[in-house]
Formats: sequence, structure tokens, C-alpha cells
Amino acid sequence: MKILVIEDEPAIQRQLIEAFKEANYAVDASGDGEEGEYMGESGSYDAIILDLGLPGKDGISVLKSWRANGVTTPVLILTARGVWSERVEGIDAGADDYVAKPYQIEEVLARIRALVRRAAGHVSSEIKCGPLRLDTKSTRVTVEGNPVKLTSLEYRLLSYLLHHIGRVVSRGELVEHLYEQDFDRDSNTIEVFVGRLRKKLGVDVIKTVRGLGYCIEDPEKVNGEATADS
Amino acid sequence: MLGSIRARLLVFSAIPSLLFLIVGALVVLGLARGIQREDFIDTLEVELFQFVAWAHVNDDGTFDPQLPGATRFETAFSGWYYQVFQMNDARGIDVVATSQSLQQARLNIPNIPEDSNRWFAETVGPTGDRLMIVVQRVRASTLADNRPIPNPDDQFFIAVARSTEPLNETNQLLYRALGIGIAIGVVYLALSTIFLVTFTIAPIQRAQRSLHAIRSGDAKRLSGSFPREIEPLAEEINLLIDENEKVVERARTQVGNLAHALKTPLSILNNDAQEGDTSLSNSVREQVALMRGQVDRYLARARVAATSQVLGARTEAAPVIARLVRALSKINLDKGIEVSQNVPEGLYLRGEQQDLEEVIGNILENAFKWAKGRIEIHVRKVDEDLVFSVCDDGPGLAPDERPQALRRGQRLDETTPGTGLGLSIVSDIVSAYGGEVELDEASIGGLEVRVTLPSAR
Repeated sequence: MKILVIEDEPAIQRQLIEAFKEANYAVDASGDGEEGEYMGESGSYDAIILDLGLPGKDGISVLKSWRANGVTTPVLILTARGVWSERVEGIDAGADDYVAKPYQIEEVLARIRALVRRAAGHVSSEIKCGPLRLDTKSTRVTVEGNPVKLTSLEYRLLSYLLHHIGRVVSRGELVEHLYEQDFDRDSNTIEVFVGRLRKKLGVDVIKTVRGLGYCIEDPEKVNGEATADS
Repeated sequence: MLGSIRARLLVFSAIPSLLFLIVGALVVLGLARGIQREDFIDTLEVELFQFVAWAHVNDDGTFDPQLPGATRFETAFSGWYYQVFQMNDARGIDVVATSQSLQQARLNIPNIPEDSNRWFAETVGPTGDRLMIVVQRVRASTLADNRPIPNPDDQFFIAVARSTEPLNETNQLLYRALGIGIAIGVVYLALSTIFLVTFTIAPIQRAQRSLHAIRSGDAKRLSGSFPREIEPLAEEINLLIDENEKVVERARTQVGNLAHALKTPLSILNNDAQEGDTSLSNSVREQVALMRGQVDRYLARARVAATSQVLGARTEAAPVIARLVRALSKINLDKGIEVSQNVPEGLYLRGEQQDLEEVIGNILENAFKWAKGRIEIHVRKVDEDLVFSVCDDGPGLAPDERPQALRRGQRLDETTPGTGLGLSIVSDIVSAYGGEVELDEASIGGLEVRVTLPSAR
């Protein structure tokens, strides 16, 4: 899971970055409207936090040009004035949710979690796959009720695959969504992480699709199809 | 009484005119009566002089009662009479000749003055009518045309009288004419005063109506043409309205800037204090929460206070509500909440769009947060008010929790994110408009928030 924070106030930007890293997200950040717009268009983010009052180019314009250029990433806007016309304007420009300043970080976290989940088509904050459960709220992973301790990157990997359950995810896509912009990327390390993750989980949920990537199959759907076949 | 222009116009125009009219009428009446009386007396004197010329005494000194005269002195009780008499020693009257018109009656002669030869008097005639009488004292020698007579120093009195009845009749005519004249004058005065007052005051009343329309939110500025005396006043009022708007706009901008300036550091402080669990970070968290509450509350109030000063603001409810519902439905898409809106077009709030957005936005946000699947919005006009009702099918609030929900900084639910200021800001804004917020149980199960705000025509 990778998010983009566009916020010009350094202290707030720092707090957001810290909080989201702590919640096992990869975080890129910008304090400028035009730079942020470019990053949002080129990088693959699972969600974007956008402050409306930005130097360079204001948030509403940034948002409008993203939507005009086909960027569908969920966007959470931060509104400072807290007046409703600003929120409505933001939503009309294509925002998916808003948080009014002054806000609590937990609230921003909760909204982003919900946006990512919603974009992936999940309703509950807990994603299940057979004996495996991932709670996006507490960032806890359990297998048959037993907690599994994961590193931030391993969690991100599992979370991304689970959010896109039943779909084959390429290594390139994983790299895009797991690493921060200035990270030295090496798609080979993905295999290492997947191997470690399989070992820690102890259950065989992550399938390798040769030449394409990885996939976590939805057991309910597989079972359903099986029943239909028989 | 002079506090009203109408009264001033009446006092300074109608009343003097009326007095002038009455004085004029009285002068005319006095003159007419004087002239008439003069004329009356003149005729009487002419008759008298004729009788004096005709009268003569016989050689023996007795008066010759054979006097010529017009028919009016012969017709019985015609109102024209003469009588010749002498004074006897007992200061009584010995009549020596009378007109036929007197028949057997005699003229009642008032006291005879000693020192004048001719005088006028009024008396009562034989038929009870009033007579004007003129009496001439004549020496017997004069009547004898210098013929020798035995009693040349005897005095004869020749009296000619005439009924004043014709005088009364013409007076009646005069009174009637004057009465009609005065009545016409009064009616004319009344009408002209009413027209004067109406046409003078009309532009002032127009200005007043126009001002009322501005205050009640039906108009933005004073419009229409006014007379030259009022035109500058209307212009000044329009300038004042413009200035007022500018001041409010400036105040609002500054309030917004202040909000922005305060909210960011408060957010930072608060989030940094989340890290630790020391007494310092706890205290910072607590105080920041208090400050945030105060900042939000007072900013909302200052904004509303500035807003309620704006004259002539009116906002149609339907588009504002539709826009808010569209935005909130979009971000709550996954909840699958069905919103039914019963908001007739053409309902206007007497107030700013931003305030209506704050009120309805906060209420709707709450409803979306709690609703299970349904939200109902109704707006209707009740007398001079608009009543907004928002119902949800969520858990609702127990009756004893409701007053608390409207109070400042209260959050009934500590687990759902939010500042908890939503409904208290609603309550602040609504009370600034003199409106009312009520919480009730909705017919669809959850909470009903009912807001009453002033309506503009």
C-alpha cells in the first residue's frame, strides 16, 4: 500500500508521513501543488492526501486536472476553512472524502483505510481468506486466530495482494505499490519477500502465476465454482 | 404631533388656508351686511325726506293728515309705515297722522333723544315684525311754509318705518351663498391637502417599502427613481449597503485567515502530543481540544454575527440542499444510503448561502454517519419561517441525550471520528438567526433534526 501526501505545512506533512509509515504504508510526499500533481499522475498510489491550500497550484485545480487526465486514485482532501462550500467544491472536483482541519491523525488514517478498501471493493475493515485474516484497522494479521508478526514491507505486500484478492498482480505493480519513490528498486527482492511471507504465514495462500506474478485466490469463489462444476 | 410630515403639511398648509377662508368669509359677510344696511337706511331716508317735503300744517296750526304716498303705504301691514305725532306735556305721544298701512295700529316709538333732529331706531311693528324707524323732528313753522300760524314753535315728529324682513331674507340668501362657498372651499382644501400629502409622501413611502424589502431579503439595493430631494438619500443608502457588504466581506476574510492561521498549529500540537503518554502530553492534548472547541465556536459565531449584518441576503433552499446531498452521497457511496428529498422550489431563506450550507451540511453529515439505509429531507414554509427536517433511520438519541448534543464541544460518541462540534455549530448559527433547533425521534426510527429559520418572500 502506497500513499501520496501533498501538504505544504512541514510539521503536518511530517506527522502524516510518520503516522502512515507506522501504519505500514509506503509514503511519498510533496509540499508543492505542481510537483504533487506530477507525482500523482506518474506514480501508482493507492490513495492521495491532498491539502487544498497549496503553493504553486491550488488543490482543487490539481484534483481537477488529475480527474481530467484519467487518474482514478482515491483522493482525501484536507480543508482548512472548514466551510461546506469548500468541501462540496472539492467533492465536485473529484475528491472521494474530506477531513476538515483541525483533524486528528487517527481520523485521516481511518478515512484513508476506508478509501483504499472501498476502491478495492471491500466493505469490512477485516479481509479474510480461508484461515488468514488481515485487520486493516489494527494492521494485525492472524492465521487461525494466531497472530503473525510481519515487517512493514511484508505487511504491505500481503495487504496489497489481499485487497486485490482473486486478481493476478505483476511484480512490477507490486514494486510500484510497495516502495517509496526514492527507494532503490529491485524486482528480484519481491521474490525474497514473498518467500519469507509464505514461511511466516505457514499456509499456502499466495500462488505464483508463472510469467505473470502472484495471486491470492478467493477460497469462497473457488469453492463456489467447484460446487457449480460438480 | 409635528413628528410626522403628514401632520406638518396639515398644520402648515391646510389649517392656515382654512383660517384664511373663514376670515375672508366673515369679512365678506360683514361688508355685505354693512352695505345692505346702508342701502336700507338710505331708502328709508329718501322716503322720510319725501314725507317731510309733502307734510304741511293748516292755517290753524294743525297737521294736515292728507299725505300722498306710494301704494306700499296704503296696503294694510305692508311693512312700510309712517306716523306723524307730537309730544304732549306728559312726554306722551299724540298721533296726528298715520299711513293706511298701519290701519288702527300705531307705531311704537322708542325714547326720543333731546338733542338730535333725526335719528334711527329699531322697534316692533304691528304684526310683530322688526322695524327700522327713522324719525325727523320738524318745527311747525317749517311745515307752514312761512305762513303765519298760531303755534310756530310746535314740534312735529315724522316717523317712517320699514320692516327689516326683506333684510333678513337677503341675509338668508347671503348666508346660504357663503355657507356653500365655505363648504366648497373646505372640500377643495381637504382634497388638495390629501393630494398634496399623498404625492409628497408617496416617494418617501416608496423608499420605505424598498428599504423594508432590503431588510426582508427581497432586494439587494434601493431601486426606482425618486424626486430630487430624496434621490441623494437613496444614493447614500445604496452606498451604505455597498460599504456594509464590503466591511462584512473583509471581516469574513479576516476571520477565515485567522481560522486558517490557528487551526494548523493546533493540529500540529495535538498530533505531536498524541505520541507520548506523559502528563505534559496529556495536558497539551486536553488544552488543545479546549482551544480547538473555542476557536471553532467563536469563529462560527463571529462569522454568523458578520453575516447577519448583511442586508438583503436571500438564498434558495432547494439548490443548496441538492448540492450537499449530491456531495455527501458521493463520498458515502459504499453505505448505499437512500436519500429522499422533499424540497419544493421557490423557498428562500432570509440569510446567507454559506450559513444555510453550514447548518444543513452539518446535520446531513451527522445523518449520513448514523443512518443505516435511509435519510429523509423535508422543507416547508410555516407562516414566516422555513422548517427544515432531516430524519435518519440510525440509532437516534435518547431524550435525555438530546440537549447535550446541541451543547458546545460535546461528543456523545467518542469512538466515531469527528470533532463533535457539528450540531453545536448548527445551534449557534440558527440562534444567531433567531431560529430554533429541535431534536426528536424520527418516524423512520432514528434521529429527526428540525431547524426553523426565517423565510424571505
